[in-house]
Amino acid sequence: MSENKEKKSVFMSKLLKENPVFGLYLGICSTLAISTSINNAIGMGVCVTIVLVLSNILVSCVRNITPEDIHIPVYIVIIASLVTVVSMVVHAFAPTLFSSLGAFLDLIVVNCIILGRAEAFASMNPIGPSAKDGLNMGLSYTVSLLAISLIRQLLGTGMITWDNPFTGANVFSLRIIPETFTLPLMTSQVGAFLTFACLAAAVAAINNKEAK
Amino acid sequence: MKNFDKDSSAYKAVLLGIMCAICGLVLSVVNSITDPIIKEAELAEVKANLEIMFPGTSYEEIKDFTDESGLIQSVYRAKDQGVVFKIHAVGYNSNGFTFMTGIADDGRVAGYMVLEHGETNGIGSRAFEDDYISKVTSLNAGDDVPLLTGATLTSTAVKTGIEAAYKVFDAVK
Repeated sequence: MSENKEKKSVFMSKLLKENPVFGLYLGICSTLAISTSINNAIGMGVCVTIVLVLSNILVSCVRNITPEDIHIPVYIVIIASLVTVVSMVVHAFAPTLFSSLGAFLDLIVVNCIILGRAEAFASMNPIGPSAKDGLNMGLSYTVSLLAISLIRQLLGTGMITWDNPFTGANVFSLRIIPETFTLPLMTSQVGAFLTFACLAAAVAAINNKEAK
Repeated sequence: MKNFDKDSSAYKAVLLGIMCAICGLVLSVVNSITDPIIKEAELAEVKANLEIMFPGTSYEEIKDFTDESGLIQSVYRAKDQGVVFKIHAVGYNSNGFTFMTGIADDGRVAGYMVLEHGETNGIGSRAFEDDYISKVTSLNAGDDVPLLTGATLTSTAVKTGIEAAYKVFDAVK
Protein backbone atom coordinates (compact mmCIF):
# COMPACT_ATOMS: atom_id res chain seq x y z
CA MET A 1 0.00 0.00 0.00
CA SER A 2 2.69 2.48 1.06
CA GLU A 3 4.85 1.32 -1.83
CA ASN A 4 2.01 2.05 -4.16
CA LYS A 5 1.60 5.49 -2.67
CA GLU A 6 5.29 6.14 -3.10
CA LYS A 7 5.16 5.08 -6.73
CA LYS A 8 2.22 7.37 -7.23
CA SER A 9 4.00 10.30 -5.65
CA VAL A 10 7.11 9.65 -7.74
CA PHE A 11 4.96 9.71 -10.86
CA MET A 12 3.20 12.88 -9.73
CA SER A 13 6.48 14.61 -8.97
CA LYS A 14 7.77 13.54 -12.37
CA LEU A 15 4.60 14.84 -13.94
CA LEU A 16 4.90 18.21 -12.23
CA LYS A 17 8.58 18.91 -11.54
CA GLU A 18 10.18 17.08 -14.42
CA ASN A 19 7.36 17.72 -16.81
CA PRO A 20 9.13 18.43 -20.10
CA VAL A 21 6.69 21.14 -21.10
CA PHE A 22 5.75 22.94 -17.88
CA GLY A 23 8.73 22.04 -15.71
CA LEU A 24 11.66 22.04 -18.12
CA TYR A 25 10.10 24.25 -20.82
CA LEU A 26 11.26 21.92 -23.58
CA GLY A 27 9.58 21.40 -26.93
CA ILE A 28 7.24 24.37 -26.57
CA CYS A 29 7.14 25.30 -30.27
CA SER A 30 5.21 22.28 -31.49
CA THR A 31 3.20 22.20 -28.27
CA LEU A 32 1.82 25.67 -28.89
CA ALA A 33 1.29 25.09 -32.59
CA ILE A 34 -0.70 21.87 -32.63
CA SER A 35 -2.65 22.04 -29.35
CA THR A 36 -5.88 23.17 -31.03
CA SER A 37 -7.80 19.93 -30.67
CA ILE A 38 -7.73 16.82 -28.52
CA ASN A 39 -7.19 14.73 -31.63
CA ASN A 40 -4.00 16.56 -32.50
CA ALA A 41 -2.80 16.42 -28.90
CA ILE A 42 -3.21 12.67 -28.56
CA GLY A 43 -1.84 11.98 -32.03
CA MET A 44 1.21 14.13 -31.50
CA GLY A 45 1.67 12.81 -27.95
CA VAL A 46 1.62 9.20 -29.11
CA CYS A 47 4.08 9.92 -31.95
CA VAL A 48 6.48 11.74 -29.63
CA THR A 49 6.22 8.98 -27.01
CA ILE A 50 7.01 6.27 -29.56
CA VAL A 51 9.98 8.20 -30.92
CA LEU A 52 11.18 9.01 -27.41
CA VAL A 53 11.04 5.41 -26.17
CA LEU A 54 12.71 3.99 -29.28
CA SER A 55 15.38 6.68 -29.47
CA ASN A 56 16.20 6.22 -25.78
CA ILE A 57 16.51 2.46 -26.29
CA LEU A 58 18.75 2.79 -29.37
CA VAL A 59 20.89 5.54 -27.89
CA SER A 60 21.35 3.42 -24.79
CA CYS A 61 22.36 0.46 -27.01
CA VAL A 62 25.09 2.38 -28.79
CA ARG A 63 26.25 4.42 -25.80
CA ASN A 64 29.36 2.29 -25.19
CA ILE A 65 30.61 2.23 -28.76
CA THR A 66 30.03 5.90 -29.51
CA PRO A 67 33.02 8.20 -28.93
CA GLU A 68 32.30 11.49 -27.18
CA ASP A 69 33.18 13.59 -30.27
CA ILE A 70 30.54 12.22 -32.57
CA HIS A 71 27.72 11.40 -30.18
CA ILE A 72 25.48 14.27 -31.36
CA PRO A 73 25.59 13.27 -35.06
CA VAL A 74 24.96 9.63 -34.12
CA TYR A 75 21.95 10.54 -31.96
CA ILE A 76 20.57 12.88 -34.62
CA VAL A 77 20.82 10.17 -37.30
CA ILE A 78 18.95 7.76 -35.01
CA ILE A 79 16.27 10.29 -34.07
CA ALA A 80 15.78 11.57 -37.62
CA SER A 81 15.37 8.04 -38.96
CA LEU A 82 12.85 7.16 -36.26
CA VAL A 83 10.82 10.30 -36.92
CA THR A 84 10.82 9.63 -40.66
CA VAL A 85 9.61 6.07 -40.06
CA VAL A 86 6.85 7.27 -37.73
CA SER A 87 5.80 9.98 -40.17
CA MET A 88 5.65 7.51 -43.08
CA VAL A 89 3.57 5.10 -41.03
CA VAL A 90 1.19 7.87 -39.93
CA HIS A 91 0.90 9.09 -43.53
CA ALA A 92 -0.03 5.60 -44.66
CA PHE A 93 -2.40 4.56 -41.89
CA ALA A 94 -3.78 7.80 -40.41
CA PRO A 95 -3.89 10.29 -43.31
CA THR A 96 -6.23 12.73 -41.55
CA LEU A 97 -3.94 12.96 -38.56
CA PHE A 98 -1.02 13.40 -40.95
CA SER A 99 -2.63 16.37 -42.66
CA SER A 100 -3.70 18.06 -39.42
CA LEU A 101 -0.26 17.74 -37.81
CA GLY A 102 1.41 18.84 -41.04
CA ALA A 103 5.03 19.90 -40.77
CA PHE A 104 5.09 19.48 -37.01
CA LEU A 105 5.22 15.72 -37.35
CA ASP A 106 8.54 15.93 -39.17
CA LEU A 107 9.69 18.62 -36.78
CA ILE A 108 9.72 16.07 -33.94
CA VAL A 109 13.33 15.62 -35.11
CA VAL A 110 14.26 18.97 -33.64
CA ASN A 111 12.02 18.61 -30.59
CA CYS A 112 14.50 19.23 -27.79
CA ILE A 113 12.79 16.79 -25.42
CA ILE A 114 14.06 13.88 -27.49
CA LEU A 115 17.69 14.94 -27.92
CA GLY A 116 17.57 16.25 -24.35
CA ARG A 117 16.60 12.87 -22.92
CA ALA A 118 19.09 11.06 -25.18
CA GLU A 119 21.85 13.30 -23.86
CA ALA A 120 20.85 13.58 -20.25
CA PHE A 121 19.61 10.08 -19.55
CA ALA A 122 19.89 7.41 -22.21
CA SER A 123 23.56 8.05 -23.00
CA MET A 124 24.49 7.12 -19.41
CA ASN A 125 21.98 4.45 -18.45
CA PRO A 126 21.21 0.86 -19.42
CA ILE A 127 18.41 -0.02 -21.82
CA GLY A 128 15.62 -0.80 -19.33
CA PRO A 129 15.69 2.44 -17.34
CA SER A 130 16.18 4.43 -20.56
CA ALA A 131 13.04 2.97 -22.08
CA LYS A 132 11.15 3.73 -18.88
CA ASP A 133 12.44 7.28 -18.84
CA GLY A 134 11.31 7.73 -22.45
CA LEU A 135 7.86 6.40 -21.60
CA ASN A 136 7.56 8.67 -18.54
CA MET A 137 8.63 11.74 -20.46
CA GLY A 138 6.43 10.88 -23.42
CA LEU A 139 3.39 10.38 -21.20
CA SER A 140 3.87 13.61 -19.33
CA TYR A 141 4.35 15.40 -22.66
CA THR A 142 1.06 13.91 -23.83
CA VAL A 143 -0.73 14.89 -20.62
CA SER A 144 0.55 18.47 -20.89
CA LEU A 145 -0.49 18.68 -24.53
CA LEU A 146 -3.88 17.28 -23.65
CA ALA A 147 -4.35 19.85 -20.87
CA ILE A 148 -3.54 22.78 -23.18
CA SER A 149 -5.66 21.54 -26.06
CA LEU A 150 -8.60 20.65 -23.82
CA ILE A 151 -8.74 24.24 -22.54
CA ARG A 152 -8.21 25.74 -25.99
CA GLN A 153 -10.76 23.54 -27.74
CA LEU A 154 -13.34 24.00 -24.99
CA LEU A 155 -13.08 27.79 -24.80
CA GLY A 156 -12.42 28.28 -28.51
CA THR A 157 -15.09 26.09 -30.04
CA GLY A 158 -17.24 25.16 -27.05
CA MET A 159 -17.10 21.52 -28.06
CA ILE A 160 -15.33 18.38 -26.98
CA THR A 161 -14.83 16.17 -30.02
CA TRP A 162 -12.98 13.02 -30.86
CA ASP A 163 -12.43 11.70 -34.39
CA ASN A 164 -11.17 8.29 -35.32
CA PRO A 165 -7.57 9.08 -36.38
CA PHE A 166 -7.47 6.21 -38.88
CA THR A 167 -10.61 7.03 -40.85
CA GLY A 168 -11.31 10.65 -39.91
CA ALA A 169 -14.89 9.78 -38.96
CA ASN A 170 -16.35 11.64 -36.03
CA VAL A 171 -16.77 9.33 -33.05
CA PHE A 172 -17.84 11.65 -30.31
CA SER A 173 -18.82 15.29 -30.13
CA LEU A 174 -20.41 17.20 -27.30
CA ARG A 175 -21.26 20.89 -27.09
CA ILE A 176 -20.61 22.28 -23.63
CA ILE A 177 -20.56 26.03 -24.22
CA PRO A 178 -23.22 27.56 -26.53
CA GLU A 179 -21.76 28.92 -29.75
CA THR A 180 -22.47 32.57 -28.85
CA PHE A 181 -20.19 32.40 -25.82
CA THR A 182 -17.11 30.82 -27.39
CA LEU A 183 -13.80 32.67 -27.73
CA PRO A 184 -12.41 31.99 -31.21
CA LEU A 185 -9.27 33.80 -30.01
CA MET A 186 -8.36 30.69 -28.03
CA THR A 187 -7.88 28.61 -31.16
CA SER A 188 -5.38 31.12 -32.57
CA GLN A 189 -1.77 31.44 -31.49
CA VAL A 190 -2.58 34.04 -28.84
CA GLY A 191 -4.79 31.51 -27.09
CA ALA A 192 -1.93 29.02 -27.08
CA PHE A 193 0.38 31.45 -25.31
CA LEU A 194 -2.27 32.49 -22.78
CA THR A 195 -3.19 28.92 -21.93
CA PHE A 196 0.43 27.87 -21.72
CA ALA A 197 1.34 30.77 -19.43
CA CYS A 198 -1.56 30.11 -17.05
CA LEU A 199 -0.84 26.38 -16.83
CA ALA A 200 2.92 26.92 -16.43
CA ALA A 201 2.25 29.42 -13.62
CA ALA A 202 -0.09 26.95 -11.90
CA VAL A 203 2.49 24.14 -12.10
CA ALA A 204 5.22 26.46 -10.80
CA ALA A 205 2.97 27.54 -7.90
CA ILE A 206 2.32 23.90 -6.90
CA ASN A 207 6.03 23.11 -7.10
CA ASN A 208 6.95 26.15 -4.98
CA LYS A 209 4.37 25.29 -2.37
CA GLU A 210 5.75 21.76 -2.12
CA ALA A 211 9.31 23.08 -1.81
CA LYS A 212 8.32 25.28 1.12
CA MET B 1 37.09 -4.52 -30.87
CA LYS B 2 38.94 -4.04 -27.53
CA ASN B 3 42.30 -3.17 -29.07
CA PHE B 4 40.66 -0.80 -31.51
CA ASP B 5 41.39 2.87 -30.88
CA LYS B 6 38.02 4.48 -30.24
CA ASP B 7 39.44 7.97 -30.59
CA SER B 8 40.87 7.49 -34.07
CA SER B 9 39.18 9.40 -36.87
CA ALA B 10 38.88 6.24 -38.92
CA TYR B 11 36.78 4.56 -36.21
CA LYS B 12 34.48 7.58 -35.97
CA ALA B 13 34.03 7.81 -39.72
CA VAL B 14 33.32 4.11 -40.06
CA LEU B 15 30.89 4.14 -37.13
CA LEU B 16 28.96 7.09 -38.53
CA GLY B 17 28.97 5.48 -41.97
CA ILE B 18 27.62 2.20 -40.61
CA MET B 19 24.95 4.05 -38.61
CA CYS B 20 23.79 5.95 -41.67
CA ALA B 21 23.78 2.81 -43.78
CA ILE B 22 21.64 0.94 -41.24
CA CYS B 23 19.22 3.87 -40.94
CA GLY B 24 19.03 4.23 -44.71
CA LEU B 25 18.24 0.55 -45.05
CA VAL B 26 15.50 0.71 -42.41
CA LEU B 27 14.02 3.80 -44.05
CA SER B 28 13.95 2.25 -47.50
CA VAL B 29 12.27 -0.90 -46.16
CA VAL B 30 9.59 1.12 -44.33
CA ASN B 31 9.14 3.34 -47.38
CA SER B 32 8.64 0.36 -49.66
CA ILE B 33 5.89 -0.86 -47.32
CA THR B 34 4.09 2.44 -46.73
CA ASP B 35 4.51 4.08 -50.16
CA PRO B 36 1.98 1.89 -52.02
CA ILE B 37 -0.58 2.47 -49.24
CA ILE B 38 -0.07 6.24 -49.39
CA LYS B 39 -0.33 6.28 -53.19
CA GLU B 40 -3.48 4.16 -53.08
CA ALA B 41 -5.11 6.48 -50.52
CA GLU B 42 -4.32 9.50 -52.69
CA LEU B 43 -5.71 7.78 -55.75
CA ALA B 44 -8.85 6.82 -53.82
CA GLU B 45 -9.37 10.48 -52.97
CA VAL B 46 -9.08 11.47 -56.64
CA LYS B 47 -11.39 8.61 -57.59
CA ALA B 48 -14.05 9.80 -55.14
CA ASN B 49 -14.06 13.15 -56.95
CA LEU B 50 -14.12 11.51 -60.37
CA GLU B 51 -17.10 9.40 -59.33
CA ILE B 52 -19.13 12.60 -58.91
CA MET B 53 -18.47 13.55 -62.55
CA PHE B 54 -19.39 10.26 -64.21
CA PRO B 55 -20.69 7.76 -61.68
CA GLY B 56 -20.33 4.04 -62.06
CA THR B 57 -17.57 3.72 -64.62
CA SER B 58 -13.88 2.94 -64.65
CA TYR B 59 -11.24 5.63 -64.97
CA GLU B 60 -7.86 5.75 -66.58
CA GLU B 61 -5.39 8.61 -66.42
CA ILE B 62 -4.26 10.06 -69.75
CA LYS B 63 -0.67 11.19 -69.44
CA ASP B 64 0.23 12.18 -73.01
CA PHE B 65 -1.84 15.24 -73.81
CA THR B 66 -0.66 18.60 -75.11
CA ASP B 67 -2.00 21.66 -73.38
CA GLU B 68 -0.84 25.05 -74.64
CA SER B 69 -2.52 26.99 -71.83
CA GLY B 70 -0.64 25.16 -69.07
CA LEU B 71 -3.76 25.19 -66.90
CA ILE B 72 -4.66 21.53 -67.11
CA GLN B 73 -3.12 19.43 -64.35
CA SER B 74 -4.45 16.01 -65.12
CA VAL B 75 -6.81 14.28 -67.52
CA TYR B 76 -8.81 11.13 -66.83
CA ARG B 77 -10.80 9.14 -69.32
CA ALA B 78 -14.11 7.83 -68.01
CA LYS B 79 -14.77 4.66 -69.96
CA ASP B 80 -17.54 5.13 -72.61
CA GLN B 81 -18.73 8.34 -70.98
CA GLY B 82 -16.33 11.24 -71.33
CA VAL B 83 -13.19 12.91 -70.09
CA VAL B 84 -12.52 14.58 -66.73
CA PHE B 85 -10.07 17.47 -66.38
CA LYS B 86 -8.41 18.81 -63.27
CA ILE B 87 -7.68 22.46 -63.94
CA HIS B 88 -5.74 25.09 -62.05
CA ALA B 89 -6.68 28.65 -63.02
CA VAL B 90 -5.91 32.05 -61.55
CA GLY B 91 -8.78 34.42 -60.84
CA TYR B 92 -8.74 37.13 -58.20
CA ASN B 93 -6.54 35.36 -55.66
CA SER B 94 -3.03 35.09 -57.03
CA ASN B 95 -2.68 31.55 -55.67
CA GLY B 96 -5.36 30.47 -58.10
CA PHE B 97 -7.94 27.78 -57.57
CA THR B 98 -8.36 24.17 -58.64
CA PHE B 99 -11.50 22.76 -60.17
CA MET B 100 -12.69 19.69 -61.96
CA THR B 101 -14.82 19.56 -65.03
CA GLY B 102 -16.15 16.58 -66.94
CA ILE B 103 -16.90 16.74 -70.66
CA ALA B 104 -19.15 13.98 -71.93
CA ASP B 105 -18.44 12.21 -75.23
CA ASP B 106 -21.27 14.16 -76.92
CA GLY B 107 -19.53 17.45 -76.05
CA ARG B 108 -21.70 18.75 -73.21
CA VAL B 109 -20.28 19.79 -69.86
CA ALA B 110 -21.29 16.95 -67.55
CA GLY B 111 -19.87 18.25 -64.32
CA TYR B 112 -18.14 21.20 -62.75
CA MET B 113 -16.87 21.31 -59.19
CA VAL B 114 -14.29 23.34 -57.30
CA LEU B 115 -11.71 21.42 -55.29
CA GLU B 116 -9.76 24.19 -53.60
CA HIS B 117 -10.06 27.96 -53.77
CA GLY B 118 -9.10 31.18 -52.01
CA GLU B 119 -11.48 33.54 -53.84
CA THR B 120 -13.33 36.19 -51.81
CA ASN B 121 -16.28 34.72 -49.95
CA GLY B 122 -19.60 35.98 -51.27
CA ILE B 123 -18.02 37.56 -54.37
CA GLY B 124 -15.65 35.32 -56.33
CA SER B 125 -16.93 32.28 -54.47
CA ARG B 126 -20.28 32.66 -56.28
CA ALA B 127 -18.56 31.02 -59.24
CA PHE B 128 -18.55 27.80 -57.22
CA GLU B 129 -22.15 27.92 -56.04
CA ASP B 130 -25.21 26.08 -57.29
CA ASP B 131 -26.58 28.90 -59.52
CA TYR B 132 -23.43 29.15 -61.55
CA ILE B 133 -22.77 25.39 -61.46
CA SER B 134 -26.15 24.73 -63.08
CA LYS B 135 -25.37 27.32 -65.79
CA VAL B 136 -22.01 25.71 -66.55
CA THR B 137 -23.33 22.16 -66.54
CA SER B 138 -26.00 23.04 -69.12
CA LEU B 139 -23.37 24.03 -71.70
CA ASN B 140 -22.82 22.21 -74.97
CA ALA B 141 -19.77 22.15 -77.22
CA GLY B 142 -19.25 25.59 -78.80
CA ASP B 143 -21.34 27.50 -76.22
CA ASP B 144 -19.80 30.47 -74.47
CA VAL B 145 -19.09 29.93 -70.78
CA PRO B 146 -21.21 32.57 -68.98
CA LEU B 147 -19.49 35.25 -66.91
CA LEU B 148 -20.67 36.47 -63.52
CA THR B 149 -21.19 40.17 -62.89
CA GLY B 150 -19.04 41.20 -59.95
CA ALA B 151 -16.97 38.05 -60.17
CA THR B 152 -15.54 38.71 -63.61
CA LEU B 153 -12.00 37.65 -62.77
CA THR B 154 -13.04 34.37 -61.20
CA SER B 155 -15.57 33.43 -63.86
CA THR B 156 -13.17 34.45 -66.65
CA ALA B 157 -10.63 32.08 -65.14
CA VAL B 158 -13.25 29.31 -65.14
CA LYS B 159 -14.06 30.15 -68.78
CA THR B 160 -10.38 30.02 -69.82
CA GLY B 161 -9.99 26.73 -67.98
CA ILE B 162 -13.00 25.11 -69.61
CA GLU B 163 -11.97 26.39 -73.05
CA ALA B 164 -8.52 24.87 -72.54
CA ALA B 165 -10.23 21.63 -71.48
CA TYR B 166 -12.29 21.61 -74.73
CA LYS B 167 -9.12 21.99 -76.79
CA VAL B 168 -7.53 19.00 -75.09
CA PHE B 169 -10.86 17.12 -75.28
CA ASP B 170 -10.92 17.52 -79.07
CA ALA B 171 -7.43 16.06 -79.25
CA VAL B 172 -7.91 13.08 -76.94
CA LYS B 173 -11.53 12.01 -77.47
